[in-house]
Amino acid sequence: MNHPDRMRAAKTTPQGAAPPRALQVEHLRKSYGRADSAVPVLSDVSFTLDFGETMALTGESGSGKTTLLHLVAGLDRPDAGQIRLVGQDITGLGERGLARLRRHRLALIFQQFNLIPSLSVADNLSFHARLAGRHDPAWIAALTARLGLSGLGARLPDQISGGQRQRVAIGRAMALRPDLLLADEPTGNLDEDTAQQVIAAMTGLVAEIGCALLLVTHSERIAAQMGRRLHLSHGRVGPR
Amino acid sequence: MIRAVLGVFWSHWRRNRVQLATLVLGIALATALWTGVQAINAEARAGLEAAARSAIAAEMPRLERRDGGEITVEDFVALRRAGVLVAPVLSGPFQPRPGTTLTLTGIDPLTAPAGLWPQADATADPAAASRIFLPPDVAAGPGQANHPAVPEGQAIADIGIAQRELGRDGFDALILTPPQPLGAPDPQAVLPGLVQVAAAADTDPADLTQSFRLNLTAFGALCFIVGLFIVRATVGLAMAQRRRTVGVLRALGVPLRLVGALMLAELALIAACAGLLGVVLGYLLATALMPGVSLTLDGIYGARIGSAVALRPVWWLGGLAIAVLGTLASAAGPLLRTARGPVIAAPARARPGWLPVAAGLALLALSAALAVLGGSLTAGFAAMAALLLGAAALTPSGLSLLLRAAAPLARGPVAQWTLAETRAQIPQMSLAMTALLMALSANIGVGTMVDSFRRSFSDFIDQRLAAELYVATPDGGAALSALLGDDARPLPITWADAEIAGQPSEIYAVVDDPTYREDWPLLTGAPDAWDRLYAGRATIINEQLHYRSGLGPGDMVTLPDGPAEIVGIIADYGNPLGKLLVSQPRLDRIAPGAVPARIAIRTDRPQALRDDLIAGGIPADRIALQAELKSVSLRIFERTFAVTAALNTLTLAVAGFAVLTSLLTIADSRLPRLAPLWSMGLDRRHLARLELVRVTLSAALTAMLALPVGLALCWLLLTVVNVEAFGWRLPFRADPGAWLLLMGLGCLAAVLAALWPAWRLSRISPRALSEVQSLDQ
Repeated sequence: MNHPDRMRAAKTTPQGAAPPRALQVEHLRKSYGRADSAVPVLSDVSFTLDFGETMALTGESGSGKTTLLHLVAGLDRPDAGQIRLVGQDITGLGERGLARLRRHRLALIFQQFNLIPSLSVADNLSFHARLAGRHDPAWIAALTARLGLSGLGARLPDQISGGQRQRVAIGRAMALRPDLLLADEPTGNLDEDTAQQVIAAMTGLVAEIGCALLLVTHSERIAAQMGRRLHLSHGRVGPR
Repeated sequence: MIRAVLGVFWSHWRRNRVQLATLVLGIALATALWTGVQAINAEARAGLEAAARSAIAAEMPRLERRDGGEITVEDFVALRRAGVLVAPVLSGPFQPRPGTTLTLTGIDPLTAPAGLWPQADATADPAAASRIFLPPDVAAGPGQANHPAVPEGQAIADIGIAQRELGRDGFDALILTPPQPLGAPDPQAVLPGLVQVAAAADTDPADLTQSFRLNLTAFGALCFIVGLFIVRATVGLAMAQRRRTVGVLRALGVPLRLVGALMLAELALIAACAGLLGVVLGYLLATALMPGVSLTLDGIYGARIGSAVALRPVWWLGGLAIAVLGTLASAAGPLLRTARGPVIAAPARARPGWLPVAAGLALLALSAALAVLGGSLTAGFAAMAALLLGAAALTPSGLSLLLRAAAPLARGPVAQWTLAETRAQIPQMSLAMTALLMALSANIGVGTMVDSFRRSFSDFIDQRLAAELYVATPDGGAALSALLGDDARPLPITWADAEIAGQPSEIYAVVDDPTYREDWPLLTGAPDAWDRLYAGRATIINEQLHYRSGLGPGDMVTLPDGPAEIVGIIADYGNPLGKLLVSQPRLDRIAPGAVPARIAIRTDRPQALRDDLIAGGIPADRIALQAELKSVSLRIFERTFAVTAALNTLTLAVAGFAVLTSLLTIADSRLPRLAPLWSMGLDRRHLARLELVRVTLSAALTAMLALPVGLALCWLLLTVVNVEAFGWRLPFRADPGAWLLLMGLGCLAAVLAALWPAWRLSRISPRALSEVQSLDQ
């Protein structure tokens, strides 16, 4: 659902009923290993995220941040609990359903950029949107300019800097106009100045298209720039 | 320290068992194909050496009865008394035990020329004269003895023993023992009923089959090289994965030399174990192929060899040595890179440089130069090797060019990714695709050559066997002439052996009949060639004599009765000798008294005439219908190339295995490249399908590149190797259907190889795909 669609969805919601939230996580549990020696990673995690809202997901290493992000992205399956994306429960979806969800409604940004090394910067930028059948050349041109990527379109990912690669990853995600943007330590490989530029670009675009942002970070400075914060400790939501 | 370092190295193979299995299988397969072919060659060589001994008798001038009957003891005694040195011989079928039939040759050990009797000194062991000597592979019973000098399928005994065993009183022939005493009388003057049969032409089967064995060796080398591609790919990956470990070991103080030496020793040990497995597989392969090789050598050259394979050190020790040396040679590059790398390893980036392209172009130029200027069989094979290696060096660049050209054709992001990713993966797949290109080129080249040969041979048989009936005439055809009516035209087939222009040759007489003008097309020659031949002053020669002597239309050649102008050249596939066609009167002058050994008959009612001839007393086994002869000829032809087809298939199978090993070894490194697509909404089955498409695309483009290489190879075979080896040049016959089929088979081999890795990908745990995105790319 892109931004205008989201506005339409809010208008057509029956009177009195609350519009669907971008993300609703309820009593989520996840453990790894066999039943007799299972290691719990997430225990009874619940939270919500509305459109236009940004949330930092913090916690020490091994607290379950990335696992939670992967569950929300449909990259992994929970043992119990519900994940609702724009009102739709995604925990019961099969592999194809999850793939469709990722193709059309979610976008992910990783610490390692995860660009497609064999495609040019321009092709990487438009790739996800074209997969979803939502290619908008004017929007991509605007994104290219705003992210400072003009003139780099013909280059391959390994021919540009780390900061530029992460901006390409943001551009690729935003070209889709997703409902939910998930970012896993997107500035972990960047110096502080570049990290600040990347976060500024990302939050600006999130505000512009009105999607929700869930961002995993270890950085207090970046977490402070998000609208809300969810702190995980030993797999549970807890105080910092 | 050594133990600790070896423990670290071994841990790599323990964690990468598929890689280890791939390496062992790659070495074993390469060794198996090489040793298999070498075992066949060794066996063929040994068989031919034994056969050559048995051919001595046939190569000596001999006396036979003009009417084909037996020579009596009285005839023998009369000649000896007249001072002619002759030795009697006799042969016939003999069963040393039920179910085993040999050809028993009876020889008089005291009068026979040296070399015929198995024992060097016939007088040293008088008891030997009472025994029948059998070849080593036939169990000897009472009164029999095995002897290594007796060729397979043969038995040798004293002439008296042979007469008793065969139930005969006389002899087949009397060998004229060289040298005859001065003043010895003409044997035909002593006994007018005898005819002197000239020595068979000097066509040593070992010489003739050398080209066939060279051909086998070339195939073995090709298979070995394709196998080494597997080894190179696997070792390259293993070394790349170990680079960091090696860096850590060096950082911890292990000397570089020790690391290098231990890696070498480790590889040599693996190569020796895998080589041993390869030698066993090679023996099994040789055992499976040997009967076909035996038939092939018999079919082409009439060289009889056995079909058993003995364990000879020359090939199994050689196989082990080449396994270790080949492995170390193919691993040298990656080993050196790993050993010379920086202590803290930096990720290596494969960049296709200009060097392979320059080397490839230089090799192609060398191939062309060898083809044009070489002028020998060795140069022909060297040209083929240079062509294949040059094409191999150019394969990655060729694939890259084709994929770049195809890029604008991609519609949609997935198609675009597939093309871009296929191109990006060329360095990882180049060895497998090069192996596939070599195998496909060899298949297309040899397949087209064999097909050209088959079609030319079939046409040739249709033309040359124009007569409807063929009758063998040991009596010269006297009995047959009386039985033929006006509706049958006899074409006598009469010839004499001679040495023409330094080449062993046969001079054939052709009678003036429309059959020759209409059905024996000239490869080149004057329009009135046949008229001039019948006029008696000209001759038409076969291609073999043309290439070997350098003589052609317009040249004069000296025949035994005088000069003759060459007015044309005819094809004569399958004949190792030179051939000249002359008019019947001229052959009568060259060889007075020569009688037709066969008579071809043109008739509208072949079956009825056959029945009439049998009713008239001609034995049925002397009469052959045209259709029967064609069928037998073509059957021999197909049998002849059965081994080539088997080796072709094996080469393609090894190339398919090379693709599989490449895909398996790079499977882990594919995940980080596929995971982003998965996170953007392509499910695992879709990714698996894309991987299949990618491999198929690579294989299809490789097949496209293999086609021109294969056709060039075919051209070399037809115009250089065949001419040098056999003395005839075949016309090129294009068969696009067969090429497409072979290209399809190449793609199928690659797709089959890609199925398992793709299936594994379609079932990989989502966690593995999600985790890989958090790791270094």
